[in-house]
Amino acid sequence: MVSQETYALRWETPMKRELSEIADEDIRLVRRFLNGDSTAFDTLFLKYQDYVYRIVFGIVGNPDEARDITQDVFLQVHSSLSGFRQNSRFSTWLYRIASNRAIDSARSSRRRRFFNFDDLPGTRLAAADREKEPPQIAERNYSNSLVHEILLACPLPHRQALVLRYFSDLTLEEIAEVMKCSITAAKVRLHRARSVFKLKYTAAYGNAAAEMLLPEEETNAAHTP
Amino acid sequence: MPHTPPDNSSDLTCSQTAALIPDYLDQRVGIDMQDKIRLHLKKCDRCRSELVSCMHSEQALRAAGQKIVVPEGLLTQFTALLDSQPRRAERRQWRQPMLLAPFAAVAFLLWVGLHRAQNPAHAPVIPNADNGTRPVTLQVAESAGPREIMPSTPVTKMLSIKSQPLHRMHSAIPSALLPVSVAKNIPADKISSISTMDRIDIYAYKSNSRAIRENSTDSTPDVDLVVHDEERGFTASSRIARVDSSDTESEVLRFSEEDNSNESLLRPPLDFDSSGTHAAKEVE
Repeated sequence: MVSQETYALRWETPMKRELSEIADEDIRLVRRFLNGDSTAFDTLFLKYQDYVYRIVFGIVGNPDEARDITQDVFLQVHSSLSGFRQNSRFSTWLYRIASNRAIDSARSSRRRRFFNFDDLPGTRLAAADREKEPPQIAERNYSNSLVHEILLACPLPHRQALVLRYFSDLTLEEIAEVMKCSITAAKVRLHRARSVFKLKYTAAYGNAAAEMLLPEEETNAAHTP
Repeated sequence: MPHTPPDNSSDLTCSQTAALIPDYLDQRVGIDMQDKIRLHLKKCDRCRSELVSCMHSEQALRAAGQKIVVPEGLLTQFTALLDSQPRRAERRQWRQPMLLAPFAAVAFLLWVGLHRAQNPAHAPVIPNADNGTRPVTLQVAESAGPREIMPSTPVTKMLSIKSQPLHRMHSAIPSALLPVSVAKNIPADKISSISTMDRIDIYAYKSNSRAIRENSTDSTPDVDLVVHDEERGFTASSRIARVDSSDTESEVLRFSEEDNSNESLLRPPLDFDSSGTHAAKEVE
């Protein structure tokens, strides 16, 4: 078995410091808002609207619904900000509200709940396209909507983990905080989510396009910290 | 692709490498481990393919996330939504006093009842016998008990009024006026008839006998009906006004000049059951 490595890489220290500064700024804005400065909430809104919308959209998959849920999330935050414990991070608190609201909405939607991956048009198209020339496949691989369709075919906990990780760029610690679980549990969940998504993604498109898009030397260069 | 096993024990196996690939992609492994993984990947086509597959799916996810277009004007819409919230709260605040509305209504009705008790002009009006166009005004008398108004003179006629309209009259008298009794100022000789039915004593009282005498051909008397319910302790009088003697079929009560005599006080015997209001008929 592989021995436990020291994960404290050199680049993590400035990132943590940066996150801490962001959190402190958020807390200052929250305090300003609670003291009656309504513009502070506008600042928070503009700062986090993209993150919240991406999380919600990634989970529910519908732009109109995502917009409404985003509004509801900020409305809930606005009304319950006085109950926010300022010793935790505002961003993770906000992301937790957003993902929970989005999951509730997705659960209530039977259409997505019983979505059949085999019925995906992207799947059938991709199977037919495998015989075609690679550039067309490459273009389709990066098709935004098709990736979303595959994402929507994943179970909700997996979808939540993938969206938090890749749509909102949260770290593993932040994901654990949003999901209210340990870092190990978040890591396991994310690992399973990746496997499920990769399985569906590979089933849809195969490895040919991936190998074409990512040659070996590029792959190695991408991993250099 | 054929699976390439590691050359020596210090190298990673394929399962170990596959388990480390996510951390490797997240750059969460140390530099030494990165070197080991790279070394294994150079030798193992299968693990390299796995790495490429993982990278590609992650890259597709990141690209899809970055391509999400956040709708414009979210803050403006949110501000508008937020502005509508206090108005809703205000409406809710206004709803709370509305809970007092039933109590206010009850208080108003009580006030109206008391006001009418003090002012007999606002006594309740009962539709008249035939078609409800002629009002019958109930008047509450001021007196002691009903026994005091028992006539000293012989009772000339018995007036029977069916129970149904009596109950209507009874229910039409506001309870705020109870208990009442027959007025002391009704002289005993003015009592024209007494009837008892269902323990309800009815005193027909001619209040405008002079007018009758002066206009005997066209008697249009006002008649007071004094109603006493002994069981319920209820006594009230009612005035039947504008009785038209020419229309005998529709008369409720008709008094004659000889109303103190033994002649018929009420004629003809009328039964207003069909009208549904109240019925009166002459009985011996």
